[in-house]
Amino acid sequence: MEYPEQTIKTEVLIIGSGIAGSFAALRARETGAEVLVLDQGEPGFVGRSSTGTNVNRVVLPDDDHEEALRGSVLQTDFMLDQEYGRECIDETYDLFQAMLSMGADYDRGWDGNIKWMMMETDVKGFYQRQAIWNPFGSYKHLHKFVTTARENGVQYRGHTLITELLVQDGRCVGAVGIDTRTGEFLVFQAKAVVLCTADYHAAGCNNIDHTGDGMAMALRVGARLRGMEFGRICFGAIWPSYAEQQISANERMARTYRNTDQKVRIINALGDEFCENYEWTRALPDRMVGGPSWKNYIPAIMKEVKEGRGPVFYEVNGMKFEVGFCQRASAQTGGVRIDKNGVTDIDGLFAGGNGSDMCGGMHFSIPYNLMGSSFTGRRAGGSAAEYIQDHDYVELDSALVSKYKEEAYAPVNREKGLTEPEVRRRMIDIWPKLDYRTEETLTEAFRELRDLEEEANGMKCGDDIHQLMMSLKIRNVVQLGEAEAVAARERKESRIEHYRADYPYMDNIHYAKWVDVSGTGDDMHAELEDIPFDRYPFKPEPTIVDRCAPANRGDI
Amino acid sequence: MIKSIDPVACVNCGLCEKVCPADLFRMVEDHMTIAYQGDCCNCLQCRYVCPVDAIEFAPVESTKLDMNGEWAAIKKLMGAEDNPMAEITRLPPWELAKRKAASGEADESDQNWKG
Repeated sequence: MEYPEQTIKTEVLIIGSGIAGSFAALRARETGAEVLVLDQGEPGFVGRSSTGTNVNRVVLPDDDHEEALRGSVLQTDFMLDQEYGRECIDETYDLFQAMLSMGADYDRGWDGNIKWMMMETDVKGFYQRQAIWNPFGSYKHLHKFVTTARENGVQYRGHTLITELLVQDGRCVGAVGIDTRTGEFLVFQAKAVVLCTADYHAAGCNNIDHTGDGMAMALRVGARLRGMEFGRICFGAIWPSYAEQQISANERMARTYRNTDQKVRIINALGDEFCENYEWTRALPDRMVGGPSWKNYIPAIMKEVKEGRGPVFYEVNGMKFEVGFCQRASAQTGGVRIDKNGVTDIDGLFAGGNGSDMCGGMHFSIPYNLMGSSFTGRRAGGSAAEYIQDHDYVELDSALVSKYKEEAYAPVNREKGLTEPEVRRRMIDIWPKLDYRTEETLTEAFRELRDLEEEANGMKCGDDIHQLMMSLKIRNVVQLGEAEAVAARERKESRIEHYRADYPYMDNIHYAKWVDVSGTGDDMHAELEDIPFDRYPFKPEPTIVDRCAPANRGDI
Repeated sequence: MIKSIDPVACVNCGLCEKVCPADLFRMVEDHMTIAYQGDCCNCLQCRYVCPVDAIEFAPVESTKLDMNGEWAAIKKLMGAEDNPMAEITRLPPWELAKRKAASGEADESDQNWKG
């Protein structure tokens, strides 16, 4: 079947219309640039921003910014780029005001003031200030941002799935994709491209559309991904592949976080509150079970299960749910490596939001979440607007475009090959090996994912654009799974939610570093990158930390 | 997973098609239909936006997203086995209270579940 082709020209091309995309578009538009925002769904309604979160961590001008940075650094186990963290924390209030002015509807108290919540964290004495918008998931708010951007002259194009970035002579000059309603092949020519795509979720967890397309595309054209090993671990029971449990699970989560009256605890199969026996878990408040300090619980839980006292139960008001162990169910897994201005490794390509690694920012720290997304998005948009001042359009390489076109439509009406559900199924079978991390399992997982990728390159789908879209997206997840395996194998220690069963200690001597993944296929490799601690105010002690250490009862 | 759209209630406003992140809905001959049911990710956004509450969900696991058994597979990789006590600990509190009462071990905290 022949698919028509259309070329669209714009100065700044933004891929993804979530929070990051909106802020990037608004900032780039301020300079008068011509801005086009693409989204695979309807702009303002879909994606990570609209299903992901409702918590906004803000640091007011009068708050202690030094303390906020210290807390964020400790929460991310020193992985945060502290220069980025500092600037992001300083700007959160400004971003918050911007959201308010666009109509974000935060919870307010009886007096009409914003209802601030001070959230306890696992860093002693450090509280995060946060505001919340409802309902959980925020398409209502996101839609307002998109409307504002539209009013400011930003162009939008929905139902456009970008499949590849066009990189010529080391510079990103556009992108190609498919219109998911008409099947038309689209070529975008741009002076600068900003990736504001979402992170990726595993085959089975949560959302089918969080496939990390932007991350995979950037990886394919030579950008580095950072922090891929930090897939957030979730508790399998509370946040499983839940169809029927979803509503109640979300409610339970919400109550757990917000309502201190709830009696929440973790017990093992013998009914013991074993957390008391471990130094890193004993002092944590009950309601933080499974919350921001999940990283502290993982080693203890793994030890209990391994030593035959498992499984472990999460008990809410007497109800018990088995605590599983399921990587990356809820939040981020690193992303495209950026600096604090959203600049990636590739000339002309900028990134922000969840598809970027937010400079080592991690879930539950302040420079992550909505604030991190809007901050990195805004910076990336600003950098792109600056970049187009002295860079012009480049003639597109028609051979490259037609190669991508051929690849994109290859699965249509192919006679033999795997279908998309089959690939998903295979991936779900591989996934436990990526979740229970040892040298052996990770090597095996990488091998199997490589084989699967080879087969997935010959996928088939009927003459249906939706199926084609799904097939193109699932391949990205396979590729990112490989990147995760490679990164996790490189980090021979346990840090944040990355837990290696064979290296259960946090090793600040050798691994207080970032892990970058680059290359594709068999050439995919990870490298350790030094964190410039000499420039940063907070430095880790050069020690090895045992998060599984028995409780030191002496000082109680 | 999404089950159906009530054809009587549905006003074919197209909002669900707009908000669906999994691209399930298609307007066919002026009627909203669920074209790709298996891709539903249970985000429930269509349900939130539906002005006439016409969308029904059913507690069915989507086969595409079924990660059940992952934890069991991980335990197998770990070489860990469940403690035999787990079966009893796992019981809901009222069942536990019943058993304790039967064996005469009920304590004060079990009184809440009496009757």
